Amino acid sequence: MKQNIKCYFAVTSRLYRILILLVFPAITVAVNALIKWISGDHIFYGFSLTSSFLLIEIAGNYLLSGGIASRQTEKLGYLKSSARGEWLLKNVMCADMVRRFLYFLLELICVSAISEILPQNGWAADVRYNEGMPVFLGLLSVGYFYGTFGIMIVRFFDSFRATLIVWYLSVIPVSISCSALNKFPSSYVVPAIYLLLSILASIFSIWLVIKRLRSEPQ
Amino acid sequence: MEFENVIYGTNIKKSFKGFDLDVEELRIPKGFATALIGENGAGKTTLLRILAGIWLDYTGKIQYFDEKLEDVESVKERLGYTGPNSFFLPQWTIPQIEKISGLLFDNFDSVKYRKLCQELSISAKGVKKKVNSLSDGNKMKLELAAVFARDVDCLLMDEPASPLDPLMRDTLCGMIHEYIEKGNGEKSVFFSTHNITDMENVTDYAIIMDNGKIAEQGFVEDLKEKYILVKGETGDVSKAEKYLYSFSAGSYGFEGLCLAKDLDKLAGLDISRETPSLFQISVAVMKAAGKLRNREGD
Repeated sequence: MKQNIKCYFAVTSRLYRILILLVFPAITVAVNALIKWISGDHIFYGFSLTSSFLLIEIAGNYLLSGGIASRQTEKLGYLKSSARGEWLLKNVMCADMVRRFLYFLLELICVSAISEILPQNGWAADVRYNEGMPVFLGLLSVGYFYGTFGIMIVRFFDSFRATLIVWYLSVIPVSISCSALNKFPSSYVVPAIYLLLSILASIFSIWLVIKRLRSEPQ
Repeated sequence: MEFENVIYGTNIKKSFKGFDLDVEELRIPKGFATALIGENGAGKTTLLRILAGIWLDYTGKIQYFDEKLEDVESVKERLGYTGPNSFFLPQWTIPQIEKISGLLFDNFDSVKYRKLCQELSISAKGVKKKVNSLSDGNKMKLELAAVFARDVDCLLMDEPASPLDPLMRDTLCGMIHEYIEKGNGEKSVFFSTHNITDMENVTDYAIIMDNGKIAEQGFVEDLKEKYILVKGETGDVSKAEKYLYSFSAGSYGFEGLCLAKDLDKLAGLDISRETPSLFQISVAVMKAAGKLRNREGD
């Protein structure tokens, strides 16, 4: 894991680390804690938090590995010229994958904790749901899956515009999935499905990048 | 002339998109600078990428260094490669490339890299420019800084001079010359180029490619003895043409390259002889190979 972190820090700029790993997540937590406190609705804040998370992760990925899986493979020339190029890329991808999961988990915990600390909001009292573990896990797996899936897609594009389009499109299934969580708040089916999909998407996204690294004109 | 090879390859073949690379025997002499010359699409980049281990899907046998190592992955640490266009990820910054290179290569010297970045004026001190904000020339300079900051035994450079200005090309020649000199016969450079004239003073050995095959190769001095540049009067054009390797005629007369061994056949004609430049030899060989190909096609 030490190597993963070392590689991850090598390929990320200081600006990336300040914005994507500190500033934006802090703003996301603060804003969404406020949203949860005002609305008292776990689905509404869940959708809002997941969408914010996706925006930061997908846009942030543009700075980290935007277009890495695009057809223009020459940009990987330097990595290919080293016997450790694949090792470095795998380490970075794995570190980013684990970080993404931990960050979203942390964001969810922080938002819940902060909103619990805040005094009861009178306006939201009528719509406050009993947020249980299935909903919590559901939001975690939905956010993580669409984050990973969106990143996998944007790695094929070099332009930032494409990154924003992917984020915008990913918000649609997120809203549907959050509605499903609202419909079945005590069911583990949705979290289980998305957990499985998340694992598959994670493995597939790394495989795609490595495949591109190894690719040659035929 | 007998020499040791830094890279020796036989029957190197790769086919893609209607192009066939077919190199029967490749010899890159150890301790020298070798130029790979050829027109666009001749297979220079393909060959260099295969040698650098960027492309592994080929047939044939390639041996690196004295140890007869055939596995390119095990020798990548001793090879330095620079490629054209987008070689680095566009979002990387100059300091990031330093950190990444340190992880990718054991023999990378960060201090030397920073010094080279300053000497080559890639960007102002303290400015963390991204690769995609650099000009093509500065991108190449950055590649040169990254590769010359490593202690490698063989440099493989794909058209390093193309994006550079004349002053920087001269600096590049100086860098290659110094690298070979300091190597005491142990370090070698293999580079492709279209700027034959600019790079001639640093070229010891030349390999001329045509349509995926090696059309000619040898030490520059040997090639200059093998071919003679002849110039003659317009009236002798018809007699001389059949013995000339390449040929161009105008109202002033004719000029062409002939094999030194065929010079006797031009006896009796009013011609002057000159030693050709590597550029003239390369162009003549490429034209002759092209003509031969066209004839075979007909």
